[in-house]
Amino acid sequence: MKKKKVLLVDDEIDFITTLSNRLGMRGIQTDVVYDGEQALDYVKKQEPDVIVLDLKMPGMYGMEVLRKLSKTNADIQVVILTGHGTDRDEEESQRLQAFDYLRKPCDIETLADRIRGAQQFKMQKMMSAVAFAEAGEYDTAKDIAKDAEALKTAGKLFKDE
Amino acid sequence: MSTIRKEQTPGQTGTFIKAGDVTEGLRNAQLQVLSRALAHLTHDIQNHLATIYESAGWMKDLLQWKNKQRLGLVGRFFKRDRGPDLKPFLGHLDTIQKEVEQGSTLSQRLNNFAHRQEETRSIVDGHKVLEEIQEVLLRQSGEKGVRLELEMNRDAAMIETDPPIFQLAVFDYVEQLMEGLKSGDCLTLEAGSRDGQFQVRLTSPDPEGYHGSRREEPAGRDFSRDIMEALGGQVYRQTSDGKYVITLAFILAGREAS
Repeated sequence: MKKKKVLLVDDEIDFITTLSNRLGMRGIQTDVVYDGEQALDYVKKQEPDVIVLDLKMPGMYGMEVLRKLSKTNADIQVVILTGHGTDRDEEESQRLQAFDYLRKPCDIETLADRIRGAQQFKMQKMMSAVAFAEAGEYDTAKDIAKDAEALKTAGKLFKDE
Repeated sequence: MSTIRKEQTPGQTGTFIKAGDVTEGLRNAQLQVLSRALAHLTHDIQNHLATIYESAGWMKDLLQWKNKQRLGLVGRFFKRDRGPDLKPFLGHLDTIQKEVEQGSTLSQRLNNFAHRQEETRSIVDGHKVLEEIQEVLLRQSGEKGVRLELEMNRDAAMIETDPPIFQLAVFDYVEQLMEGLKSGDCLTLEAGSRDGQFQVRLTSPDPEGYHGSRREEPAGRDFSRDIMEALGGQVYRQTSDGKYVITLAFILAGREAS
């Protein structure tokens, strides 16, 4: 079965390293990058299922990363984790269909639950897309799963299971 | 080739400005700077707290884990024959101390900055007043990816000024310069006494013909000039060897304007 990938994006190195360790202790393996550019580069090479994304980072702002992802990799589930948190940011992230919006500091169990929830949500979305595709309703399948590549992977995945 | 231009204040150009407009404009700008400073610094303090929270959480995780699978993990740190391996714990305790120190410095600067906003015209050390907005300037530039280097020549530099407006002036001119810069560029802020003045010199690559347009001193009404006029200061703009320099000059207390 395909290993679920989680990417953490934050410029606070001590914070994100410790968070990654603690998630690892809870069975959630993560990769870490430190700014928005690196996050987009990572996504080009290996699409994660879930991204935990800080908003205020040097260079590219997290919201800009979310905006780009919503156009190019809409199936990736994004959990915003920020110390910045304005109401406007929260509304904008909802509009861009982020899976969740959490404020730092955040209880580790809550974060782990949301990451698992995001993974499950993506999986369910792909399953229903595959089901529609198998029933010949390709347009509906495409509407559900925005990324055709992800749909193919999901199709193979469900056959394997 | 080098050119130095002294910026004209509104009074000198004959532009008619109502005193009330300037006061209102300054007050609004002051509020904007204040709210941005609050947003920047509280965000950073929040980040320090989050790191402390995670480090404490990591230690708690290890100490609390009871189930069999995770005892192995705890066992990595508490070996019977060799005693506990405290290195990772000490590392996290160091992180906590470092984050508390940094957060406390930020909070102290924010506190000083907030108190400064209550002050009206007084004789103050120019360096101290600058230092209070140092963090705000660093975050402001960091957000754009511009590297801000601060060089303070810490000689006594007492100036008679309106401290919050002085901070506003520096903030505004730094922002002006950053408009034409891109991520990775460097902006230098030097401060020190020179020729009977306290000078704040801002140097950046000359944005003209480089990657943007330079915001020149406009002919008409300009808010930055209003600020400098309110402070009784002068602005000089200079281009030389691909560098663009804005100097804000204030007369040192006890010296006459030349």
